[in-house]
Amino acid sequence: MHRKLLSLAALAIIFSGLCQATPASRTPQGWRSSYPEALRVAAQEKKPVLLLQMFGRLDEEFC
Amino acid sequence: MLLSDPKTAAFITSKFVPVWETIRPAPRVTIDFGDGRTMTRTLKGSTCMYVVLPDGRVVDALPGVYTPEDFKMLASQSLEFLNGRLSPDLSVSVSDQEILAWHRGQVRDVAQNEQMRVSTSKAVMESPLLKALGVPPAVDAPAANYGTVFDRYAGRLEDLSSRPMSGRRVKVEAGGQNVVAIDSQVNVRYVRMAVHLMFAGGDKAPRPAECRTAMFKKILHIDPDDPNLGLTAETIPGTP
Repeated sequence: MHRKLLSLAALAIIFSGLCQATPASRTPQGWRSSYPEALRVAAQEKKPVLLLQMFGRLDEEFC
Repeated sequence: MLLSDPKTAAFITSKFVPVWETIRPAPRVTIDFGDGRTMTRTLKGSTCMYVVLPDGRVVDALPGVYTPEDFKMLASQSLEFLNGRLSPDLSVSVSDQEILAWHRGQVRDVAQNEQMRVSTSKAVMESPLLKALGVPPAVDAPAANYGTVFDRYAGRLEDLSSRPMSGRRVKVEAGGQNVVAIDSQVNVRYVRMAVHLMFAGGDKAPRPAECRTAMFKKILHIDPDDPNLGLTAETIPGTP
């Protein structure tokens, strides 16, 4: 059980590594929050979409 | 770290239309050190990135965390597959069968490369990947064969990735970035195969919602539909 808790702590560290540089209330440049809109833009620009599914929000300090 | 890396950010915005969505709130844990200092972190956070065509079909998926170098390497594999199929109408120029066949080919190629790596090594070594994979289905095998192998392989991913982490590893890697590098290596080496098997076991290119259970519950072993994320049975050491 101790090991599992340590793994949870490590997950917290890992995930903060993904998001730590994202300032509060601001998403990384170029990222959209509307999937339908991203699909429309992708069709216009003939690019694939990169969809990030996540726990929490990218536009929050802790995501 | 990944998304804020300038080179990665430039790569993403030049090659993709990036978009994010939340699939559930992220639970947070706050540690009160007792001297006025507190530390808040997201608990049980997890992510999955999908390469999606404008018509909503998923071409590839990257569950978990990656270093910028590993992310670019894997994303480039998807882009290389799509190269030449992006115009004039990306949505109809890539068939479902091409997507599934690409993943089946990747299963074969990764298995063959791993077999070659093991057999040419000077040291006698065992391949955890090949042991978990078993004999990969033939490229033209029924989808159900891949689905069976996927379920078995994904079920062994926790063993392959040596989770849970040891206390020593957590301490040594407490800076965070090295933990990401280690997990990224695991994802490239072992999780990648599970992703290929999942696609190969389908009868069509899936939508993101159809990948959710496979990516989070089966591969990452975190059930986003469990409101407690499996934490209710946990007891903090030292709790009276």
